[in-house]
Amino acid sequence: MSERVKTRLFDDDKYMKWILIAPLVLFLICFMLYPTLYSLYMSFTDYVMRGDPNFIGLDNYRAVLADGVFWAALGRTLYVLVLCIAVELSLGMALALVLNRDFKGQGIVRGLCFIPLLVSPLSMSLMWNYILHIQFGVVNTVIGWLGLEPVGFLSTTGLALNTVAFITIWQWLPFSTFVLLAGLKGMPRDQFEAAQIDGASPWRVFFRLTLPMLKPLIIIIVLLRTMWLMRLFDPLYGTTRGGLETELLDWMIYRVSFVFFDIGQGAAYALFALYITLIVGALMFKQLIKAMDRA
Amino acid sequence: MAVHRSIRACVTAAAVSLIGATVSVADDGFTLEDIPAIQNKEAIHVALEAGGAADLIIPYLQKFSDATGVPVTSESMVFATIYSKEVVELQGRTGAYDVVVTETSWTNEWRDYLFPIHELAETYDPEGRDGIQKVLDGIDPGLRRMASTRDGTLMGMPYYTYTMVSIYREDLFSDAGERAAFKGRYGYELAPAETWEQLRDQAEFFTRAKGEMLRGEALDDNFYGLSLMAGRFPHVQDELAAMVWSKGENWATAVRDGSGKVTGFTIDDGDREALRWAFETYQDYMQFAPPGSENAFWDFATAQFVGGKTAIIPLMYNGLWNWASTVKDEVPGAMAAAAPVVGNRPYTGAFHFAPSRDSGNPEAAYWLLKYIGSYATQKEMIEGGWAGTHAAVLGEPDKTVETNYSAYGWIPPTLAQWDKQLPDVNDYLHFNSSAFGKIYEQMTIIGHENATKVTTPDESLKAWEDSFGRLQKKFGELPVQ
Repeated sequence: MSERVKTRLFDDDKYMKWILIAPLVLFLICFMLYPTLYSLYMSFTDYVMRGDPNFIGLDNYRAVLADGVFWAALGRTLYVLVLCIAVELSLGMALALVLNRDFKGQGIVRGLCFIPLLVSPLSMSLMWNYILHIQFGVVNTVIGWLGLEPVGFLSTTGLALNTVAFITIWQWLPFSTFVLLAGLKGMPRDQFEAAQIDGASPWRVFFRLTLPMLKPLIIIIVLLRTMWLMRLFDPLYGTTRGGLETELLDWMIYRVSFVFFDIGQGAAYALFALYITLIVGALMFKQLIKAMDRA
Repeated sequence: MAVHRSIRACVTAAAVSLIGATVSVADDGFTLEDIPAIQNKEAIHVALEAGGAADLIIPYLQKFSDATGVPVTSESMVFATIYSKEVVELQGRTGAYDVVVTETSWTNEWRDYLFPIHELAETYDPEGRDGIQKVLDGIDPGLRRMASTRDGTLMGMPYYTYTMVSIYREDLFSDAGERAAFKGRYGYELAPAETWEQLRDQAEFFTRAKGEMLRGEALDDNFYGLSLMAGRFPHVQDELAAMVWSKGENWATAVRDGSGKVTGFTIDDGDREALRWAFETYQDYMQFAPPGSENAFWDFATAQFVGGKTAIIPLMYNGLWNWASTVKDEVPGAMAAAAPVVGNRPYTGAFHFAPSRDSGNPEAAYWLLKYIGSYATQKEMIEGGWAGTHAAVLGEPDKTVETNYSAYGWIPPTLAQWDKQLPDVNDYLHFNSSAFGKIYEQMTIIGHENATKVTTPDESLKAWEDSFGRLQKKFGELPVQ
């Protein structure tokens, strides 16, 4: 390569930015774009891991739309999504406000609060399965000491889905807490001091100052948690395995794709889930940009 | 119907003769020392089911390796993942496993990816087919049929069985007070149930609230008649299968041509009636099972029994006897006993070791299978607590409850059931459909939703009819008629 070409490539930002970004783009093409497009192709076929895939048009998508099991799983997924995000945000905010205060042993408390995030999700689901067990679980042992009837947290239809949501919240609450805590720590003090001098009540300060300033972070939490919760899987693995009406969308996709090996149908389900996630994600992202602009 | 029955009898006889004599022979005389020098020293990789008893096989892999100089590595997987993992490796033709652990009902589905055992014998055994046949003759013929394709080609060596037996609290059944109370209430003697109605009576009789008397003592907790496995795990399907089979019916009946060849499947009126009855009965039984059974599998069901919470596990895998029998150590005065399940048609299956067609060393794979299935190895394993498949070893006179209560209690009912079930095995959908890995999963969902009353028995039946037709059409080769 001549010196002239080198200079032109490396000194000119127009080329240099592409050179720097190329490895990532290549990685994304190989491991994101290609699999997505391949899944899209598969979703138009009847491939079942045997023989060649045959093109069947929109049949798999028609099957998705007509499948009551799919809609039930989607409904449950959205229920868990809304419940988890609502609880994680409100409780996370409360914990962040508490942790933002100076108190003795704050380092230890913050460290302990972080632990659930470090636990392997599969181990966590098995652990909660035993903790909440109706006969041998420590929670029901305590309930028994109080003279109350044992509760079938994971063996009662209706309650089981909420228990799955609880397990998820338990693991992911620290995420919201620490993101919001970081936001609180980074807030400019002068505006809060001015509000205090003006005699604003703590509630007014919270709703008029703290919350608006945290809005970009809240949107990021909602955006990320939406994406993660749409593919919630692990809490089911060690507990109900989709039983007692707890089957979520990702479990169903796993079952169709990797137990039935109905690859075409599974791809259609997965892409449908992806479309929903993209729509929600795009709306959230738009809000995020707006909020950041305002900030 | 008579014609149908006679065809069935002929086909069964033919199938049994195809897979060998029904009379088990004793010692085949085969040991590690009889394995000739294996030319191919390439390491073989064996897939195993993880956990408890299954881990007992690992030392035997090591012994084989030490004796032959062929390194053997193994990979243990929990049951829930075995099918998916092995399907990917087999259908992807990766050759990752030289020997796969195969649930008997997957045999038809995987036949294109496995070596028929006799084919390997002809290639590698100096004694040819006879060399392996003398080992196979000791294995229960029903299990051999299950490890074969529907045309009778044996694809693996059954080495571990999970035949269901009924396990019950013998101390309760022999208690004079309980016996008298039961007879007074139901009008007949308390004894292991022979009908599903008797089982219901016993379940009802033993289900008691805290404070009531059991064996003359006040209960300090609720006590239940039955341990059931109603969670969304494969076991609820196995329980239902035992109920349906006990009525002489099937999940779906194999349709045969004049030569006995399976040409398709149909869910006939008899099947429908038996399935509806099984769904209804299971729902009814659930009132006598402890809370938590809705999400239970064998672990919970056995733990309930061992913990002194239930009187009967009506349908439990024989491999769980070792654990269930420890109730005598957990509950003062308690003693377990095993009996044939109601109807003598338990869910019977086995894991068999099958050599992959993509193995880099089928020669070593063959000799490993022969070693694991041989009389000497199976004897050692069974005497170590293994639920072996070697009927000759199991039938030895020293294998009695008196000689080893915790190791052998499951053996008499298992052998009795194998004999009675043998004529039916050839007709079970499980061992004729090449889509059964998928169908099994769907049965589990239907069985669980029925047990937890998400669906009514009629809805469960409808769900089964719809999904069976769809899955068989999509993944199987034979039509649903």
